[in-house]
Amino acid sequence: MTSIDVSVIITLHREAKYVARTLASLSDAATFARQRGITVELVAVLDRADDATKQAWQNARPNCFDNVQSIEVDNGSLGLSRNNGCAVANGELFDLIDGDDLISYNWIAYAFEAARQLGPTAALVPRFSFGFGADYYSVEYFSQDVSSTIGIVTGHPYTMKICASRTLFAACPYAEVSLTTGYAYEDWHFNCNATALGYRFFVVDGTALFYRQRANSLYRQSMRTSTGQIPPSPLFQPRTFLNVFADDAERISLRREHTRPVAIGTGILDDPVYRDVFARANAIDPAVEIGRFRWKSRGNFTNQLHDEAGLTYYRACEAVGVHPYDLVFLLPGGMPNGRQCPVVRAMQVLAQHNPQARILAFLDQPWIRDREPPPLPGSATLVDLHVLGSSLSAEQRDVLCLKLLQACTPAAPLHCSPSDFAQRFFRRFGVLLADRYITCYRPPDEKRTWNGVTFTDPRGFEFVSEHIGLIDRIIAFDQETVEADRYRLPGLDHKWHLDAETGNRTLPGRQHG
Amino acid sequence: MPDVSLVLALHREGHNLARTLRSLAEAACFAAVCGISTELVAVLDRPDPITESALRNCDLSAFMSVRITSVDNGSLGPTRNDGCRLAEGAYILTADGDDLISFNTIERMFRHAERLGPQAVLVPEFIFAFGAAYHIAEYFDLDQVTPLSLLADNPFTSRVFFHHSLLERLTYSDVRITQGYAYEDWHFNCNAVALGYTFHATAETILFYRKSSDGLLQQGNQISIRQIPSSMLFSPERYRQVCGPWADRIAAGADPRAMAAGKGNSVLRDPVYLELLLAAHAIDPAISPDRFETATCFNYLGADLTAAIGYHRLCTIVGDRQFDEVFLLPFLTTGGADRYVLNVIHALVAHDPARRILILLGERFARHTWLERLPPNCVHIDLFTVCAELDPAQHDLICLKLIQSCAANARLHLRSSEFGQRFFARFGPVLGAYRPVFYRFSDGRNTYGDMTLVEPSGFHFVSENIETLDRIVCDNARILADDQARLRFMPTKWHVLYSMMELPGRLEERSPTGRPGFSLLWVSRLDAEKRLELLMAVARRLRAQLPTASIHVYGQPTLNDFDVARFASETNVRYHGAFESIADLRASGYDGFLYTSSFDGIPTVLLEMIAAGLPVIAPDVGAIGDLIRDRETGLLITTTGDDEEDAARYVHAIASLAADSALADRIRRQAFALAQERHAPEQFKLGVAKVFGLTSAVPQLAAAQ
Repeated sequence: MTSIDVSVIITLHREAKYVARTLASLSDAATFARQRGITVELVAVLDRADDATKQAWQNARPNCFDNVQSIEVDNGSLGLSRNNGCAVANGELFDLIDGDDLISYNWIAYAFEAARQLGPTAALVPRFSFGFGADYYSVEYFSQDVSSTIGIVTGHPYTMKICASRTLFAACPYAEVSLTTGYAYEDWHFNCNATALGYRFFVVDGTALFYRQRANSLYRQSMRTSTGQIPPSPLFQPRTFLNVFADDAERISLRREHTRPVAIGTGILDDPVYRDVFARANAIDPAVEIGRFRWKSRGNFTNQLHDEAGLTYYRACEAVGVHPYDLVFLLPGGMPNGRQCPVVRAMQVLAQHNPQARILAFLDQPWIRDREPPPLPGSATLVDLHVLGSSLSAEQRDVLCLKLLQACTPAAPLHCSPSDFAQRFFRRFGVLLADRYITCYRPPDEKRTWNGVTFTDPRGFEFVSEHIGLIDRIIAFDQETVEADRYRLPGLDHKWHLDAETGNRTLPGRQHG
Repeated sequence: MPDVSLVLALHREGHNLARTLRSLAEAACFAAVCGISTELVAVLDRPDPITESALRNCDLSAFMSVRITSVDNGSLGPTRNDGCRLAEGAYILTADGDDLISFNTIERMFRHAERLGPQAVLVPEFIFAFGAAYHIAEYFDLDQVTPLSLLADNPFTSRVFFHHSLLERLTYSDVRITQGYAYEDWHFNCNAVALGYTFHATAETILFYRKSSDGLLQQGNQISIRQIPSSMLFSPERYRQVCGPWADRIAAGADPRAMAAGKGNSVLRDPVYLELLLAAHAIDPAISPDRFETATCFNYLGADLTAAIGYHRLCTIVGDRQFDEVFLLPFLTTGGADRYVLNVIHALVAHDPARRILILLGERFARHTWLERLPPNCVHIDLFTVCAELDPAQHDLICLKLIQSCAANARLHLRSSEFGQRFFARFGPVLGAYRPVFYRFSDGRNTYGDMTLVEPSGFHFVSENIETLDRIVCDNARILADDQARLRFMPTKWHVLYSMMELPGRLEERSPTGRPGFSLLWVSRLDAEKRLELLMAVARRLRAQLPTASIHVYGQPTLNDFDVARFASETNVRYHGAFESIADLRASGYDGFLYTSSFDGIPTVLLEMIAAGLPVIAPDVGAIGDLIRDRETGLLITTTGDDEEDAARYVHAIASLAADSALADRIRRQAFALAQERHAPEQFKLGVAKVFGLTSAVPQLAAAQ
């Protein structure tokens, strides 16, 4: 067989009615590339494909590639299927595409030529992604050397469409992010891992991905059911993050040499190269129509992400250092009326029992007592998100907290007490904490008065009730609370423990942290 | 026999269930103290272990009897039905596994029901939603919110208290969490009202409704069409009977809702409600009084009834008719697509004169034409005239109700239009039952400077809805070929039905034209898409190469982008201006017909010229090649888009036609034969019968030939 320059790997599941158009687009691009002397292979991975999709693949199987192969797999996972495709592909470069998208006719050729120029650690993406179909929008991408991707911690700066050396795909397989794991976006995760390995992302001018928007797509489904986060990636290990983004952080923080590139926006619709790209895509699928992008577009976006979140994560990495932690605490905002905070007290006790234990504590609301920082033991490192990420939204701060938890305390037991911060964090990311041993400190509920009526502050029980499936142990401080909770949540008596005066009788042993 | 059966549907309520059961037990205890006995019927539908365990570990001694059953429905409606079948109480109270009720609910509702009699269905006066979000909803009697309010929303709740005898007449429907219908409770309430039951809010009762971010209601809202299945309440006859008096009262300025007033969150200061609230708070602290202080309060007294009143008008128009075919059209005018659809309607009626047809015109249009051409058993409704005050979403809603209610077994026909596509986008998941037929004409072109792109709406609609569509009817084979090249999917759904053209019985023999030289006819709109620059280039070349030839131009600019005075610059062009009808052109007096469009389907004017016996010279664009086969049924020009290059090709074709009268005669005869074979009225009727599987019509019509 002729040596292959580029293997296009397409994953198919249930795209029967779109396959012919996607393959027509790939054929157009392959023909253009072959006219320039580039050899191109097509690898189709049919993952639990329905009969209609299999039939559509057979009917539209193109003959304008140097080699065509197909495999059937039983993954139910886009990431694993892409890995299967990579395993059998023969090309020097791999180019990934989904079964319902189109690419510009020049993508394969221009990406190959860019790869030749930029070397083996270049990861190539189209300059534009045009969403079309149920929704219209455009995203303009900039290369990593002109637009920092430090914001990759909270958002995906690129797309699933990537063309890179086969060595990248061998070193860095796609993860499985089934909808039940709570994670999503295997492409974002893959690009993080590639960045961690030293790959740099470059945009190929003149090219585009036409990204089909379907009313009930897998993407939208995953948006509804997942946490919107990717699995842990080595990129977010403090050591790696500090290495990869040192220059970016310096430039951004000093506001030096950091001029953001100017986006062309709808001006691209008047560019002769892109008009040609549009005309050829429109002939394949009329839904790619230039007027829709001009007048019915949801917006023209760029991949310039929120630098502040990335920079804050960078600062947090500096603060926590490169060594892992043994215990994690989510601190409440202190205790009113000068009472001692039970979580801080527990931390002190644990530190006494385990002087070598490294403790990481997160605080995300003002520490109310005396305007002083919480009295933590010497072995504890405090990440005060409220101060460190003062310009960020609560949602962004939560993501940074999750990333640090995953990167610095991969399996460490987690200690918390009902608080606004813990409630928000658990509601959003609780599903990702299922593997951790979680201890909840449960102070007595406050009594409150409203219109002359006295009632119980619901927040303590609410937290316990909502997350009882995740919480392994509840340390309460009075019998009344234990009984009230057990009454409302029967059958789980074993989870409640009454703290002794010293606080150490029922505190976790080393085996649980 | 217990007085009240509490029918509790359980699925995956987990740790919340214990608090629900405590609340129900408290209500049963209170009722028992007042002499009212309560049984609990718990139905576990595919429960998780935590829910099962919570039920079995709870103290249920407050109930006179307890029945627990497990089912495998995966659907709330059938699960409630299973519970109701087991229930032995004189009254039923429905309940869900994560909600609480005020402790007086059973007692109050029982006494209220005893006063009102077995035709009453009771709902709590208030819902206090708590948990992931907080709100207060206040409920009123049916007579206060009026039955009209059931069309666009459910003004009552899923927690209802009714006499056991109702179950002999009504059960819950099976409405699963799918992309289709939803809300078995709203549907149940509509049917109950249709059967003559009256709804009443029982004073001083509260349902504490736990809101979660991923509850069944939220899931249903996200993926369903947010409408209920067909209900007997909306059959036109029943709707007029039940809702007509209310519509009349409102029209007369006597809106009963104006007489009622909501309490809103003032109940938070009422000692009775506060006591109920605090009792629930003791069971679940999340039912916290202060959180309701700032919560949204709403009721259905202010619900928008315009759609419901508009639907009443539609019911009055359609009367008790049922329909076999429903056409969703934007408007009716004199365009080719309108004529085509009108011909389909006539062909359907010709096949079966008893066929009843409903036409819904859904876009604003100053003056519909050709309404007089509709067959007599055709009812048409111009939504913008009949219900001018409704917005498009409301038009869609009342159309759906009408189709559900009086066209249950009908076939749905639609052509590309904003109205039809919007309706389909909203309700598509349930429209498959109506065997929808989409009429697909050639795609338009959009021009952006020097670039011309295919207008996407027609193909995109087909692409996104092909699974739901039953048939796609195209007026030429090119559409089928293009669509299938793009889709290669479900090809049997496409049917080619050529447009209908009245043709003379036989081709007219050519007679001397009376015009000197070789005269060509050009008829079209004087717009850029007709390539007028090409026409001018043809004239220039023709003058040099075939001086005796002339071009006679008919038509007028519609987009004002061509100066007709330019025709005077070419001595072989004669501009005749606009025309009333093709007959006025005396087409048969010309030697040939020249067509220069940049894109097209099968233009009617080509058929008209073929009918007039003219040989046609036309470009190979769009679907023209489906009719004009080069040197068989015309001269087909392969165009390049370059005016000069294409003009040379046209002139070459004109010269060959002028030089070869045998060729001209052959192609006009063969074109006429092809037109007869495809476009004659008899063939069209046969085509309609074949497309819609009207098998009995085929021999009948064939015999008629």
